Amino acid sequence: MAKTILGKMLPFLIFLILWEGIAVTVQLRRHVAFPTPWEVAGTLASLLSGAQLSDAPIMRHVGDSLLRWVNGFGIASVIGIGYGLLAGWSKKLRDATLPILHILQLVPGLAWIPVAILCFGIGEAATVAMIAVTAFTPIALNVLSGVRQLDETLLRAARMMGANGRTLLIRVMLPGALPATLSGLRIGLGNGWRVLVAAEMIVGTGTGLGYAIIQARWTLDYQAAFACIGIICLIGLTVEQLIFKPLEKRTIDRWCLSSDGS
Amino acid sequence: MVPFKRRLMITIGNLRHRYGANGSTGPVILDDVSLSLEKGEFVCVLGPSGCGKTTLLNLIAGFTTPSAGTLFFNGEKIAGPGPDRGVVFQEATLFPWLTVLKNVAFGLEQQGKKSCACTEAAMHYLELVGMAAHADAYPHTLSGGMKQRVAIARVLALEPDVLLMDEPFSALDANTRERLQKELLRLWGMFKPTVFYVTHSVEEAAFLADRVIIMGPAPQSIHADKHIELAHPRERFSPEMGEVIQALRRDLDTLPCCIGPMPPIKGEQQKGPLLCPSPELSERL
Repeated sequence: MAKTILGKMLPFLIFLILWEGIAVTVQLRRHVAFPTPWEVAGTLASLLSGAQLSDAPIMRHVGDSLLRWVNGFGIASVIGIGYGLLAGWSKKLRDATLPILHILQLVPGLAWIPVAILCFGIGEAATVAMIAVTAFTPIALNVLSGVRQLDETLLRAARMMGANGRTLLIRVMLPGALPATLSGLRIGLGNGWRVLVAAEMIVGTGTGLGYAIIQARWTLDYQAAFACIGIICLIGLTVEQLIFKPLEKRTIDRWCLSSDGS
Repeated sequence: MVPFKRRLMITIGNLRHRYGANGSTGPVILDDVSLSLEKGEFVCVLGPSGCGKTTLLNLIAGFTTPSAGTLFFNGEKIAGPGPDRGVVFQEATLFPWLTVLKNVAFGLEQQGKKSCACTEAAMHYLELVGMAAHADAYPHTLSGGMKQRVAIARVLALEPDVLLMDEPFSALDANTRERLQKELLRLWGMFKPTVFYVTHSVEEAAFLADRVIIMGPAPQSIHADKHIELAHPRERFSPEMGEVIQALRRDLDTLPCCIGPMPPIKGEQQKGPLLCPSPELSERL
């Protein structure tokens, strides 16, 4: 038992040691205040206990970022899964639209900033739209390939039993493409989160973790900036552990579906 | 004429099928197939691999449309798959995300029945195939034979007029296969559907069928059409069965196999140029 806990903590420990090493080296060589893990932990604790950052408590930044991300990612998931299913089903739709997705996939998330600002102005809608666009492509492409890889006889069996249209989409293709869908959602989630933080730095949303980081940088409060980065990582880990892992256990593992879709 | 015609379940007239994008460019797989299946008949289709047995089954199931010819089921043109023609595939193809019970209930729900009635009916058919104890199991926990039992229950629950079976027991071990053949005959006796059973095993055809259709490669698609007069239940190793099997074997032997007629075997020293992988190598030899 003790061994497994140690094993799980090991990467974390190595990371802290590396960080400490880099901090000390940078401080000695460049004579700048590179925050050490201990200083950041202290800042994090004071932020979490209510200290203000850029005129707002840290939980306000976290909450606003999460809200934008949930909105953007939610829109991307619904449209992405819906499109993936339909395009997997209809060759006409696929032929007419798939190249567009391949092009969209090549556009870096931040390149959407001018487009988003032109469409929605500076503010919430622009940020949410950027997250939605960047998260959409990996979700849609993965769902699509999941549907395409589905065993043809499984679909034949369903049609033989009288299933068609919506039933085929919702009750056969959707669960059948689930392993691919989950990996698509994972990628979309990561992409969306990254573009969110970056967009908050540039679009000037007034709150949010990205905004807090860039403000802390202007005021040379590097410890707070590092603390915010730490919070971003923690949120990512929490989502993986609380949403994706349990979802995977309840579906793919239980049904013994392999991740290649067969 | 009319009462006689009513007994016909499936009528196939001058059916022709080619592979390829629109069924007009690829190789001809079925050529001029005419066939009718009577109500309640147990028909086995034998033939070398690649002769179009499964293609014919898929056409009757409605998964594919023929390039030319007519295909009638109960007097109506076959336009697509439907629960009146239940299919048992070579692999069980159960939905891995549904329990055994829900897999069987799936087809019933598509008929618009209430879900509680579906569950009850599904349980009934699972009992018939001896799988009631595994109703809540997921398919991946079952053996191949158990999965195929569930696949049969799933199809029987649809109360189909025709049962299309595509080598359903060929992936199972010999013992399980023989048990399931017996059970299939028992269930056939109960429901009397028309059975169209594709197999490559002469013994299986002789044990199961009332009528055996031997198919060959196109253009000789239907090679022979024989009735087996032995009464059920049949004894696998009786002399009568032996005769039937021998006769079927003789018929099959006259057909070319998948690679066409074998060339005569020549002496060791006569190495033909076809056996050499490249010109350089043959020069060195």
